[in-house]
Amino acid sequence: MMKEEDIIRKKCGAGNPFRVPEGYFEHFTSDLMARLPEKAEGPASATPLRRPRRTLAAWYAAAAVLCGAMFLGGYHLRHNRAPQAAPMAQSLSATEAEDAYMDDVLDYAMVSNHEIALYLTDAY
Amino acid sequence: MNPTEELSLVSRLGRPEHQRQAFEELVRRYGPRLYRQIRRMVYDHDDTNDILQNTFVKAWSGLDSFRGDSRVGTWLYRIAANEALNFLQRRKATTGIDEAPQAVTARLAADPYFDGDETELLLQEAVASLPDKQRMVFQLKYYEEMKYEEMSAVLDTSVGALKASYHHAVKKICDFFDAHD
Repeated sequence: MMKEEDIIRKKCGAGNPFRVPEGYFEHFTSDLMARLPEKAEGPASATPLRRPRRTLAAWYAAAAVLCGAMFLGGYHLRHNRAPQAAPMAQSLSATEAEDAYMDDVLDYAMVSNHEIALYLTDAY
Repeated sequence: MNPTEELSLVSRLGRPEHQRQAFEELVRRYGPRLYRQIRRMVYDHDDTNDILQNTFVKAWSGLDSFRGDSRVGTWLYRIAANEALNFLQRRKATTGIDEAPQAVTARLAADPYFDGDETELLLQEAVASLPDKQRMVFQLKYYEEMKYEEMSAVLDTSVGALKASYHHAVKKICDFFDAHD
């Protein structure tokens, strides 16, 4: 086998016929180093696709929306049975009460309007 | 690189404050060698450049997993070999065919970054007719004079299988020359 390898070496040598453009390796190193991301400190760990805090916020938002809907449903049921002496005034005060209640619920759940909007548009 | 230099480089690669500088040294030291290895597999300079970049990007992102069980050069050769073989497989899957050895020769003859004469072109045609992995075995042994033990770590193949593969490669190339003389 060595004899056959020697034949090839005698015939062709073992030189490198491949060249690179002028200054290629100098540019290659600097370009590559500029491209490399900084290493994160501490041991590397797999990043979950969804962060738990956001998932928890989504559940808070869903719970808040559900509570609000239940309250409003109950409120309207009870309110529609009662005689309406001053419909316009009562309607206004009811809306204000709903808004205030929703604000309280959302404040308690620490859910922002933006997060609710994200939840409702399936952006989570 | 002598063992002391290697030890120092590996040690600096493991320390966050020196890691970037040590990696730059690694790129400077091994870039040209890895380039040759990849270029002999894919022939084209631009493809080689892409694969070489991917090799070092992967090495950088996997630096924490390098435990120093093998030499750093062996580890880099292994990444480069996988990248080159994957590239060839992807290209084959895209085009559906192996590039004919004659097409490789024609491409090299027109390549401004190839300096080989007629005999060299004939050798490249013979080498191009080998299966990808056998071609890599031939290149690493014939040109880089890599020991079979190191090659075994690079290609994840037993020493016996590598010896047999190299033997067959040399025989095929000699037969090719006989047929063209």
